[in-house]
This record gives sequence, structure tokens and C-alpha cells, in this order.
Amino acid sequence: MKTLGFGLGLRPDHYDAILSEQPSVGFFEALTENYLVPGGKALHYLERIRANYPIVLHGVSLSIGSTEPLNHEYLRLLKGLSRRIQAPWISDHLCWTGTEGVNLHDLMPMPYTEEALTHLVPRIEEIQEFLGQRILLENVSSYVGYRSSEMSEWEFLSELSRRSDCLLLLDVNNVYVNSVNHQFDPDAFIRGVPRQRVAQIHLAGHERQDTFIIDTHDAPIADAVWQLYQSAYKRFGPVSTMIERDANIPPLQELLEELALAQTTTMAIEAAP
Amino acid sequence: MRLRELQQSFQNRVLRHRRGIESQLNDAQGEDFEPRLDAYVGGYRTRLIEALAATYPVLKFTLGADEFEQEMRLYINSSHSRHFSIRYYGADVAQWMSSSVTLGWEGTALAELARWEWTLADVFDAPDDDPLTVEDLSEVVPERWPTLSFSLRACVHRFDSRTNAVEWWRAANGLCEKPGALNKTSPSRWLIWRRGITTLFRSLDSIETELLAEVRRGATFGAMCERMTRSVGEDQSALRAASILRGWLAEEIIREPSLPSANE
Repeated sequence: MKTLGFGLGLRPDHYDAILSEQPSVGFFEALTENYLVPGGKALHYLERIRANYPIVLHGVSLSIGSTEPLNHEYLRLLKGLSRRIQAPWISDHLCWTGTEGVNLHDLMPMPYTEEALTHLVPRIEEIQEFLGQRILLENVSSYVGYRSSEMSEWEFLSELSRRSDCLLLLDVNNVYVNSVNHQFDPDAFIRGVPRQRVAQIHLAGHERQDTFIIDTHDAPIADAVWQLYQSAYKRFGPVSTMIERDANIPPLQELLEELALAQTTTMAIEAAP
Repeated sequence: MRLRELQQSFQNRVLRHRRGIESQLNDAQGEDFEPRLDAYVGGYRTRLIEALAATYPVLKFTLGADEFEQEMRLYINSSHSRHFSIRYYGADVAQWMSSSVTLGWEGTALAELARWEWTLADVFDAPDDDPLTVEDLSEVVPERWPTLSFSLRACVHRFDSRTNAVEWWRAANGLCEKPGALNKTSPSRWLIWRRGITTLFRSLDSIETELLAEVRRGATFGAMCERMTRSVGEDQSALRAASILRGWLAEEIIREPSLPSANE
């Protein structure tokens, strides 16, 4: 998949600054559900910004892992929005967001089992068939794990992407968060994910509790995540990379400076003997 | 436990605090287990309260942050989100507040304030249908006018009020003096719509209210004139109806005949 360089999450706080300052950004990532509306301000700005930048779609309600039937109305609207802005790709999360008709609006973790793989693969295939393109699924942060899991998270991701032919959105912050929360080597995760499947990378901040980490997206990227990003870059190369900030959103310039750090990191790796 | 039961059990813990999922989780006996689980159980409520606060900023301001959270927690316990977008979660807040036994008359006034804020949210992201313009109508030959019918744009809402909730909302946004209290007043009617991406509203008099109702029913311009005859007499009816229509066109509340859907 074509790399779009370095991007940012598209947030309403920055609409006007993006239009007036035209920052040097490779792409923006829009939160799908915010734009699945009939009309109004959000779509107005989305189209204006789309005139100058590629915009990829990143959803939170696909609920690919739920045992509920797929929401075909959601998929129909998603396809329409994607066509409207000519989104280079569509991503969502490897999780479930509710069952019995309820949406918890959270990224609930999957057990890493053969049963889960068997459940997920035909759903991904159906979605990819409907959308006419491969989707990207993101590894999520989790605070609890299941006793029933039969393999590691990276083995699960690898097997899932192989069987369904989907692509992966590697959230480096989530890898780090889970490595602390579930006590594994984050580099083993990076090494374990198939190189050719990773089509996008997320970087974000988190919040450390007493004994575990919550994926809050409300702070600058932590040093440990920057270090892990170096490992990721060395393994996956120049994959489209962006910073997610969902709370405590700073001025655009501050995020651009943080994004420049990502670019500097990769340039230093490229320049190293 | 099969995947379906696992998800139901976890969801039961989040929604209803029912125990059961613990036996399926790693380290359930660990000292940090409950805080980890609370990242889901408490996080669910925190997220919904944040979404409700975004939809109902003046309701929150009126109740105060603590009471707003308390009321919204009760709402959350009574109503689960069933939409793919969290934006729509607060659809029943007004109805829920009006039926609240603890709030009494205050509940009715607060419900009206909530209904006003919900209507504003609906107007905010209503379809982008094109408004009909004076120029569009200039090509209509005079003989056709009596049979012309019009449609309101999708963003146009009428809001009927029995309290000073709108004035209260305006004051909270610095648009007028703050009334002494949120309370019952004589009935009033408001028109809310969007021009471009700007939400607008104004009060409606009884004649305009009735004419708008006629338009919603698909009445022709001839029928509108007939309705005006009762208010201003036959001599002035066509002139007055045309004058009101011209105002609506300038305000962009009448739509062009075709309505392409945003994400089709």
C-alpha cells in the first residue's frame, strides 16, 4: 500500500488552523463515526480539508469481533463516506464494542483463540468484499486478558491477517501499553507481526496508573513508545505514520512539532551506518 | 466459555455490575484487578457522561457539574446506547427528565431545556439540502403561482415552549440578560434552522406558525393566501403571503425540490 508519509488525527479543534496554515502533513485520519452524519459542519470541513490532503478513515464501531451480526447500515454509510472523500483506506479496531444490540463505545479485547479466529475471518472477508478493498485492523490496548487465550496477541494478529488477507494498523503505543499490562517483551511483538501486512502506524500518549497503563491519547508520546517506534521503523520501514490525540488537545503547532520528531527519528535511522 | 457467552458476561459486568466474567480473566485475584476492570466499567460511564455534556452544555451548566453527572448516571442506568455513534446517545434525555419523579416541575423545565439543546444538535448536522432562492422563483409564470407548493429544508425545526428555556439558554451563551429562574411562561414558538454551517433561531408569531404548518402539510401558495385571508383580509392576503415567503427565501428555510443524501 502506498505510503502517505506522516499525518495527524483530524480534530475539530484544528479545522480552521489546517485551512489557514496549510501545514506540511502527508495525510489526516478522520474518525469515521463523526462524519457518518447527514450534513453540517463536520462534513463541510472534511470536504474542504480533503481538497488539500488525503484523508483516511478510522472507525470505532465496526465491532468486528462481536458475536452480533454485522451492522450493514453502518457498512453502507461507511462505504458512501469513503467514496465521497476517496479515502485511501479504511481502518478500525480488532475488538468488539458490544453485544445484544448495545454499543459500549469501548474497544473490548478479544480472546486469542482459534474460536475467535474462526469467527473473525469470514466477517472480515465479507466486509472487504462489500467495500471492495482490504481493511486495516488495529491492535487495541487492554487492561485484562482472558484465561482462554491460546496464543500471543502478535501470533493472533499474524494468523488473522494471513487467513483473512486484511492489513494491520500497528499502534505502537498500544503495543507498549499491553507489554506493561500483560508483561511481555514489546520487541517480540514487533518482531512477530508480519512485515508485509503493516500498512499504517499509530503513535499516541498514555496515562500510567499505579500498576498498569491506560491508553488515554491525552498526552505527548512517552519516551518508551518513541524507543519502540524505532524498532518498528527498522522492521516495517517507511509506513504511513500518524499521531492520535483525543483529549487535552493542544494547538496544531504543538502536534506538528511532535510529528516532526517522528520524522527526525526515521531520518536518523536511515542515516545510521 | 464460548465467545458469545464471554462477551455477554463482560458486557453484564460493564452495564449492570454483575459478577461472572472474573472467572474468565487472568489475574482476577491480583490486587490491581479491580482498577483494571474499572477501566472498562467506569470508563463506559465516563465516556457517556462526556458525550452527554457535549450535547447538553447548558443543561450541565444549569444543574451544576455534580448534579448533572448524578442525573446522567441515572439516565445511563436506565438507557443503553444502541447507535454506532455516541452522538445519538442522549436522544431520550428530555423524555427521561420530564418523567423524573424527583425533579417535579423543575424536571419539566429542564426537560424543555434538554429538548432545545437536542434540537440544536439535530439542526447542526441535518442534511445539506440546497435552499430555494428568489431567483429560482423569478422564472415561474404568474398563472402557476397558486398551484406552487414548497418544502421546508431538512434542518428546519419548530420548537414549542411553555417555559423560558430558550431565554435561559441564550443567557447562558451571553446573548441576553439572565432570567431570574428557569420557570413556566406563556407559550412561545421558535424556528430553528441552519444557513450554511451556522445555526440560527428566532421566535414565530401565530400567523407564521400556521403558514409553516401549512407548508409542512404540502399546501399550495394559493392555500397559503387563503389562510392569510382570515388574518389580513382578501385584499392583502396574496401580498402578505408573498412577503412572508420572500422572508423565508432570504432566510434559506425553503428547499430546492431535489434532496441528494449526504453519504449515498
